Amino acid sequence: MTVSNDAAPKILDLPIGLHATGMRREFDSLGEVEVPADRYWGAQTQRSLEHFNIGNDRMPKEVYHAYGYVKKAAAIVNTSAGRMPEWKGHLIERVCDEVISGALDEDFPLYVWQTGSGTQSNMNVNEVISNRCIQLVGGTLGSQEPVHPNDHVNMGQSSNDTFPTAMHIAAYTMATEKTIPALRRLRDAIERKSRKWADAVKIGRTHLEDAVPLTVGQEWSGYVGALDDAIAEVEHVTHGLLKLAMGGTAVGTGLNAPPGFGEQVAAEIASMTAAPFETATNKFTAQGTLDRMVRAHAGLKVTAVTLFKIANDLRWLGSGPRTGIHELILPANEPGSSIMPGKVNPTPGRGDADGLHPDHLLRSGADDGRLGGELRAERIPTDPDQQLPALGADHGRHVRPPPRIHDRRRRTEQAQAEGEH
Amino acid sequence: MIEGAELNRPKLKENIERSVMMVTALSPIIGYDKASVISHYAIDHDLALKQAALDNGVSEELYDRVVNPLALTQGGSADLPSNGKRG
Repeated sequence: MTVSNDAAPKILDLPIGLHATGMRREFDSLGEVEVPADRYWGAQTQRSLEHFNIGNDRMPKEVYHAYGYVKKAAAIVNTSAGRMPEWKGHLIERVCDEVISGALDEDFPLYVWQTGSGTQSNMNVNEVISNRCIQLVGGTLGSQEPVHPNDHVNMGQSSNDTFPTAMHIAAYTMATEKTIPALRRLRDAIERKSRKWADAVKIGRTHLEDAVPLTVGQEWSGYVGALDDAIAEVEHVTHGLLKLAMGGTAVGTGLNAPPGFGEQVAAEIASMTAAPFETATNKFTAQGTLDRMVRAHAGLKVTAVTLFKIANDLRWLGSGPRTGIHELILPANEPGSSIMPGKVNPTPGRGDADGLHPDHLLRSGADDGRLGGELRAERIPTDPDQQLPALGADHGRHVRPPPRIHDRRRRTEQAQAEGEH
Repeated sequence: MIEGAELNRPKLKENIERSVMMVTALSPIIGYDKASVISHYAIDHDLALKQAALDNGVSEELYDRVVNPLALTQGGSADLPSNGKRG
């Protein structure tokens, strides 16, 4: 690929969207493919959509947002190295900003079931950026001119280094922006209760049988300590995600990438995300293994164990209201039964614990039943290669303590008490 | 779930009053075997721990001094007057 000297075209100010109907012809190395005319994606995305139409699990959008940073950083470095005309690099950067913002999310439809290296998601990104750039210069969609998905958007890159890079960015971002802050909020909320109930004496239990007393504050301080440990562990393991594979290209040797490409791209990504990303010192490790993702996951798995323990304790202590332990009155967040009027279940605890790890779900799905009446049939993800980013993206969602919900039980009791006067 | 949770204090109190495992605090003084007899006696006769202890020869003074639920949460041992927090 030589730098073309084509003059900069006029960049049109067009909003995102293709107002076409029917199908459009796109092509790749295997030939022509028809794609919906109102979508930006190209032939390879369409092939994957058709051949891997399996289930309902799609690649998380966070991976594509991260890919926006990858493609933008590569365009900046390639342009400054003189490998691409400035106008072309700036145009790609502009469209990458749209990818990062989520404005093009609907054009990233692929399932997690792919080649195993994220090739189709990488090409999906390349095709969408290419066609959006072509739209902005008034070109013909599907022509791959003047911005080519492989030659320009993917310049100096491979799926094998960009996909691990995007996974790391997505997972690190989710962990630091969502999971860890949510764990801290949960920890702080529990600590407030621990202090509030420092003098409330209760009977302890071992093996679910009566034991010697402790205070509720002591009991809950145990949860605080466990969450402190969990937060420290998540912070520690996510640190490994800061090492990026970019620059290794196909097999780690860096073929087709200029010297220093990985370092420069990592520096651009660090600058854009304000997170201390840097190039991985050994690209064969960074793209030949997924061990850093696995370690990050292991930290989340331990955190899931902690959350599950807390949630289960609270469900036990709140059990009742008439025939259980019921030392704790849990807030009512939703009616619990379609047939049993007035029944309320401690469902927030399920969400707290369920969000984190498939291994844990695998185990807990098998042994979670306590007193009967609750089996768990969540699908257990089976391919870590594909599921890691999904979890990196999802795990923070469920750990947030729900907002204070009016306790309907107490309100009813209060109303009855007032009615007696 | 955390922020909205409240304690059922009457239930906590009831469970404290009905529990017999605070007999553990008497054990270093009267011995494990005698404390076990009191524990089983209380359960078999559906008695409060205090009544079971008094029926089995523990003085009310000793019981009230040693079996104090809040004090029991602070560790130590009743047979260690110099070091035990509850001596």
